[in-house]
Order: sequence, then C-alpha cells, then structure tokens
Amino acid sequence: MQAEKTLREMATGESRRVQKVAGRGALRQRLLDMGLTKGARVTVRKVAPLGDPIEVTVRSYELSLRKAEAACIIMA
Amino acid sequence: MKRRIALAGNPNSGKTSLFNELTGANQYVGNWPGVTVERKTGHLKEHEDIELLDLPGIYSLSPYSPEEVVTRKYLLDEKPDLVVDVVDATNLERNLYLTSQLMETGLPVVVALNMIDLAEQKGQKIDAQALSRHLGCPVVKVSALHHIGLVDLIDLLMEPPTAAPTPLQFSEVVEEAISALRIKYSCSRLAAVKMLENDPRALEGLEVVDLHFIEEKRLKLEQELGDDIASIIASGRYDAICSFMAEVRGAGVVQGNFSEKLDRVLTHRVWGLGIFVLVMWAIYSISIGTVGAWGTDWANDVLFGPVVGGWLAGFIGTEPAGTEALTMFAAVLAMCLAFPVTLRRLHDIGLNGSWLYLAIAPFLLEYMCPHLPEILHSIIMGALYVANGFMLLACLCFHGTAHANRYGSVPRRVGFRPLKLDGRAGRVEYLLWLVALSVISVGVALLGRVGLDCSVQLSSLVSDGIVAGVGAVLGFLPQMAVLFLLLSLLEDCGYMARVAFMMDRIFRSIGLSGKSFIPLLVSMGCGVPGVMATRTIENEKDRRMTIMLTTFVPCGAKLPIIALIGAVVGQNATIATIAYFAGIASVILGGLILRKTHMFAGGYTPFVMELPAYHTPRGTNINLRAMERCKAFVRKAGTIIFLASAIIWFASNYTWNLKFLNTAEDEAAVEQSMLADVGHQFAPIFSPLGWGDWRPAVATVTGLVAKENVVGTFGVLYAGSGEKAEEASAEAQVSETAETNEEEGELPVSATLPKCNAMSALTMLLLQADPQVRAAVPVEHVDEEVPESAGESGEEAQAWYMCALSWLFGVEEDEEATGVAAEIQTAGAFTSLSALSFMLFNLLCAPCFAACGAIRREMNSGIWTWFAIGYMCAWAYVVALLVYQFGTWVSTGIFSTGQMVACVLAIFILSLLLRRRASAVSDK
Repeated sequence: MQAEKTLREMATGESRRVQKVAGRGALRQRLLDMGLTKGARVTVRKVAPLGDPIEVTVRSYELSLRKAEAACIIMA
Repeated sequence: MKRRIALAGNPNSGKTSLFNELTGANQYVGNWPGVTVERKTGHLKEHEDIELLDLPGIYSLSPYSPEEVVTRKYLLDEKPDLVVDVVDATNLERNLYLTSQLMETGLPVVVALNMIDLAEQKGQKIDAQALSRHLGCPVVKVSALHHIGLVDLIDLLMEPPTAAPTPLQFSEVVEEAISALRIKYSCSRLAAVKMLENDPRALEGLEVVDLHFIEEKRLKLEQELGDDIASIIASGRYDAICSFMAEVRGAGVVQGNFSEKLDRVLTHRVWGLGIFVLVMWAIYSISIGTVGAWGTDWANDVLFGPVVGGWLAGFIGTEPAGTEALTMFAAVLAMCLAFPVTLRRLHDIGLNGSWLYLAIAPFLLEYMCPHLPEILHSIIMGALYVANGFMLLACLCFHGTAHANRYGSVPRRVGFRPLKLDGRAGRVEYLLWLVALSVISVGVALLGRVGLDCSVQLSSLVSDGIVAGVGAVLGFLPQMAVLFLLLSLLEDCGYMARVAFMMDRIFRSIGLSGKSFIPLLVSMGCGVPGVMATRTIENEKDRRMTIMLTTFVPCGAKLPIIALIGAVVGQNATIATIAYFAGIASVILGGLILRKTHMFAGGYTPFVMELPAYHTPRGTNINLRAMERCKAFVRKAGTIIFLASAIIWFASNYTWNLKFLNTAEDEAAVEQSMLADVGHQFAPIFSPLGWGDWRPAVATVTGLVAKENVVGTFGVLYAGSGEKAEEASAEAQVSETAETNEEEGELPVSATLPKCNAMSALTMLLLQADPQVRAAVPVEHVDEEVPESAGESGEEAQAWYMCALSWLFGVEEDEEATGVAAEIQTAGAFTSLSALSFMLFNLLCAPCFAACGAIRREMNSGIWTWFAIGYMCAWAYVVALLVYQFGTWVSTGIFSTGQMVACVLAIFILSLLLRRRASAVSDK
C-alpha cells in the first residue's frame, strides 16, 4: 500500500485512485461532477509549459485543472 | 398544440450541431466547451409544430454555475414534453452522469449517442440496446456531423415515449433516505436528492422542522457511509454508471489516437510555447498585416474612394459617375448581397463555404498586383473567372445533398430573407435571389447617374458625416473577417482550449483565466472582435472582467494618437513604449483591483476544464461563424455608428441657432459650432489633466466615434485657429502633399492628414509591425517627402506639429513656427507632460462607439455596460491626472492642490490594490 498523496504531488505519468476530495462549495462540487469521485483512476498526463495547470486523464477523457485545485484531491 | 423538446447535454457534446441538423438552422458550433451562451429555439424541419430548444451545455444540475441554474429552472418549471440528452459517445461515463440527473426530473428522456463514428474509430463498440435497457429510456446512435441515425432520432421525436425513465439506483441506505423524503413531501426524486444535498434552492420555503428532519437524514447517511453528502451522491451516480459500463462498452481496446499524439507536441513543455507564439504571430500578421491589410487598403483606397465616393457624388451631386466606377459598384454590391445566399447554397450542395473567397480574389489581385506581366495576369484572372463560373454553375445546377437526405426530402420554400446566413438554400431559391439581387445592384448603381444636386447641407451630411464615419469603421471589415476566420479555425479544431491551458498561469496571477488571452490579443487589432471573443469564457465573472479590461489594450485605431503625441513630444519610441506599457499595466492593475471588489468576489474561480479532442475543422462551420460575427459588426456600423456620425456631424456643423457652418469649406467656422460650445463647457473638467482647452475636449468626444478621429479633429481645429494663418497654410500644404503622394500610389502620410484620411493613414500604420517604427512614421514622412514634392523646408513642414505644440503649452499668440520650436526646447518637460496625459486619457477612456456597442451586446445588461464604461473613464482620468500632477511636481517642484489631490488618489488606488479580497459570497 502506497502512502497517500495529493493529485498535485503526483509525477507525470503516475496513475492512482481517488481517495477523497477535500475542499468545499462550488469547486468541490465541480470536481466531483467531473468524475473525480472516490475510487476513480486518475493519470497525470502532463504539466502546462509554465508549470501550471496540469492535464489528467480521468474516466477516459482529458481534464485540465490547476495545481491549487489538484491539491484538494487526495489519492490512495 | 406545440410540442416542446429540449436538447440538454455536456458542453462540447455536439448539441448545437445536432440542433442545426434537426432544425436546418446554423448556430455557432465550436470545439470548445461553453460555446452556447444563450438558449436558442428552432423548429424541427418539416414539422413546424415541434419546437426545439438548445440549452446551454452543463456538466451537472448543481446550483453553482448560471448555466446550470438556467437549465434546471427551465426543466423543472417549464417542463418540456421531451428532453433529448445529447451524449458524447467518446466520453460515456462523464456524459451519463448528467443523464442520471436528467432522468430524475421525471420528464421523458431520449438519449442521443452523438459522435458515434468517432467512438467507433477509436475502437469502442457501444451496445445501444444494453444502454437503453439499463437507463430505461430509448437510446439512438447518431452523428450530427455525418448524418448518421438522424432518421431514427426524428422518428423518436415524433412519437416520444410517454413514461419517464427509471432513474439509476443509489446504494440501499441512500435510497431509503430518498424515499422517506419523497413520501413525506410528495416531491420528485430530483427534489428529494437535492434536499438531501443541502441545495438552497430545493430547501427554499421549508419550515424549520422540516429542515431539521432533512438535516437528520443527511447526518445519519454521512455517519453510516463515513463520507459527506456531496461525495456520496456523486460517487453513487458514477458507481451506478460504472456498474453497467463494461457491458455497454464491451471489451474493445481504446487505441491511442491522433489527438493524443498531436497534443504531445502542441502542448509540449518546451515546443508548446514556441508553437503557440508562432501561431499567434501568424494570426496577427496574416489578419492585421498581410492579407487583412490588403483587404482594408482595397476597401479604403478603391471601394470607399473612387467607387462609393464616385457613385455618391453622382447620386447627390451633379457630376455623373464614370461607367467603370459604376460597374465596379454594381459588382461589389451584388457580390456582398449574394454572399449569404450563396453560402447557404454551397452548404446545401455539400461544398465548402471557403469557395466563396474565389469571388473576392479577382478584386484583390487587381489591386495588389497591378504590375503583373500581361500574360501572367490574364492567366491568373482567367483561372479565377473559370473557377468562379464553375462555382456559379454548380450552385445553379446541382441538387442539394440535404434534399436527398437520409431522412427524406425536405421541401423548401423561397425565403424572404436573402441576407439570412442559417439554413440551406435550394436551387430555385438561389436562382431567384441571384437575379433579384443583381437587378437591385444594377438599379442602385444606376442611381449614380441621377445627379440629384442636393443642397450643400445634405451632401455635407452624407459625405463628411455618414460616409466618413461609417466608411472608417467598415474599412476594418476585411481585417476583421480574416481575423475572425482564423480564430474560428482555431476554435473549431480544438486548439483554443489548449491556449487557455497554456496561458492560465500568467492570467491567473492577475485574477483572470487563461481564456482571457485571446480577447486581449485580438484587441491589439480592434476592440470590437476582442470584446466579442470573450464569449468563449464560460465563467460569467471572468467574462465580464475581461470585457472591462480588454479595450485598455491599444488597438489599431489608437495608433495615430500615439503617433501624433510621439511627434509632438519628439520621442516616438518612448511614447509608443509608454502607450503599450500603460495599456498592459491598466489590464493588470484593473484585474487586481476589480478582483477585490464585491462585484467580482467569489474570488477564486475554478479552472477545471475539459480538453476536447482535436478534430479536422469544417470549412462551412468556420466560414459561417466568421461571417456571423462580421454580420454583427456590419450591423453595428450600420446603426450605432451611423447615428453617432450623423450627430457629431450635426453638432460640428451647426450653431445653437441652427445656422449651417459648412466646416468642410471653412474649417475655422467650427469654433462657432455646438460642438465647440460643448467643448468649452467640458474643458474645465480636463484642466487638472493639463489640457483644459476646448479643442482637445472636442477631440476626445469625436474620438468616441472612432479613435482615429482624434487626430483628424486636431487637424480641423488647428487649421481654424484664427490668426495662425501661416501654420494653417503650412498644414494645408502638408495635406496637399500627402494627397499628391496618395495619388501617386504612395502610402498616405499619417498624422498630418485631416479627417477622413486618418483612416487610410491608419492602414499604413498597421502595416508596420513594430510599434516603434509605426510611431516614427509620420515625422519621417514629413521630413523626407515634403522637401521633395512640394519644395518646402523641413521647418515649415513641421509647422503643423508646432501648431499643436504651441497650443499644448498654452501659447496663444501668433508666433513663427521656428519661434515655437525654440519655445518647446526651453519648456519641453511641461509640453511632454500634458501631451502625455492627453494621450493616456484618450487611450484608456471609453472605447469607440462600435466597441461600446459590442460591450453592451456581450454584457447583455445596461447597468454593466455603463459600469464598464464608467470604470474605464474614471481609470483614464485618474491615470492622466497622476501623470500630469506628479510630473509637474517633479519637473517644477511646485506642490499645490493638484498634487495633493493626486497624492490622495494614489493612496486610494494603492489601498484598492493592497486591500484584502472582499469576502467570497458564493463560496459557501
């Protein structure tokens, strides 16, 4: 069992399952709506040229989100 | 009774494409999430009794985004007879998440699996029957783009299921709580779920006791499942979908596709930015520099010059226009009028709309390459004519593809709106309109021989007021068209979303998002398309803020002002740099300040964005979108600018007693006009900025029609400043020289030209890519050309600038131009300051009417429009004041009231910048 880390800390190419989505309100609801729910597999595809945001694959589509938002997502 | 069918679905799932196919209308379609901003209605082809409604794209029915609220309100309050859920087949899971919510509304639902061909290309075999079984509602495989399955879908729309689908089940505990709530309040399933989710809209109007009851249920659930309610519900939906995903999708392996490979290069950490810069440079140089500039040159030098001008002179004057000009006029008019209907006809016969550009090519070739070798010229022209002939023949002979469509024949009536861009035109309709429009064009052209011999007042109104004003704006059209076309291309193929992805880092730091980049870039060319480009920003606050800030960027029309002030101060490069820096700094500071106000609070806007797959752009689609935007622009020029030009003309040509002044003949007379009087009233407002004379005040006002008018107005007002006969004559000589140059085929001189010529001067300025070169142009031209062609000394040639300068530092006496020059050298700092403050104010204050109109349109609210314009003016005033007052303090050491006010203002702005963010209202 790997130690928990946030989506933000994951390296490019790394793939993990979502443990929990922290944060609250609109942002959290949006993340959940986009399919970042508990158990969903997320792969980090790449980081934007200026280091932020990042692009991930979740539920077989590409999603871009900022690192600050990625920090809300705790991965198993 | 009319049946109402709503199209709902995720952003970028192809709702609008499907809507267009079903209704025969053509709305914007972009490969960019969030293209549909307003909701649009149409009728099902052949079935006028069925109304279709295109709802904005949403990911969920949560209460957070305005689009979601609108959609939910519509579905629940207005209860359409059927909801067509458009699902992107390449992205099933996330799209079905919304489906699961739509099914809970209790309305009948049909699922349209759109882009099925793309999914199958990717190697996904989707079992529609299995999906239908699990969802409990009909599922149709369609592809709006390739006309697959539309017959089946239309059949379903004709005889829709009456029963609501069976919603997906949550886990047992959750279901228990939901049914308890449904029984207690006898409400829909969706309402019960929303109550559980603590949705304020669902809880509205409930008693405290009830709230406690719901709260209790929620807490119980959260405790049992060890998670919070939002997560439980969302996971519940996704789990239910995943439970049958394997069965529906089969074991097909998804191949790594083209889009992914392309993306690896286009958003690469190193090359990505390089490619991005290249793409943006290409767009800018093609639209503003090369192709667009040819078009604009042609419009200004040929179309609005001899052609329209000649026709007009013939119509309202006495001199009948030449046959050549009239033929050209008729041809251009017929072409413009026939453009939309031809586009619809091309769409009908399945040809790319880009073929239309063949029709313009001969005009441009004639203009751009007048010195081609005879043979080459005739070969190219011949080829173009043959191609055009074939296009016309095809339009007249071919049967439409839509006619013999898979869902049967579509009878077409002749429409009465030939300028309509949407839908398709049949053979007969096309032929009829072609003949009618040609007859109209020739008829109108023949008016050029009438020679009405109108009064001086009327012809002055038409030529100096309306044609000068509207023509100046329409001259931009070619550049705008090219720009719109290229942007549509980027939008359609999916690159725009990547631009936002790459640029977000920079823009987030000033409170905007990556999507604000495109409007700001476009605004360097012109603020009108810049404001319109904000439409793709889905977040409302970001959109409003970008609209408010985007016109701070110095646009093409502001270049003559920069050039003029550069010449006045004598520091072209510095002034140009300051102008651009001030524009960019205003955007940045504005972003920082506005983001901290209550209006834009809610502070942090998430940037969770889907990156859609790339696809090959569709010609018709791109052309349509570009043309739709051009049409909006032309409409603006035809209404707002038309009126504004007429009003300004009236104010500058009449006294309060309605005595006609004819300023075209006697430029000095403008001093008695209403405009001058109004200028006198307003002048004191500007005196703290260092230019409290009526002339710059008037110039500022006329700048509202079009910013290049500022220079033109100076030309007029200074030519008429009484005793300065010598300067005036010098100026006249300069402009004569310029006109001679123009006739000789040379590019016109910029700032020295009065009024109408400012437009062509602008075109020349736009050709110079480097701002410093641009700014340096006028002086060089004056220096070099005047001695050659008019034999005047350089000193006299500069008299016009001296004239401006003499005013700028308040010398009203009649002085020799040389004396003025000496005067400037001694008191240079003061001059530079007020000139600088004047320039800053004019660059930053309310944009031209056209841009204000675009702001009104995009803000979709009068209050917001006035707030935006007020903010810009206030900001411009403060910046100009600070520069002038602090500048005076530094250069003269005098510290008085003005400086004190400036200090207070500076502290105020600093406090706005540094204060903490207003509490986030929506962030709960």
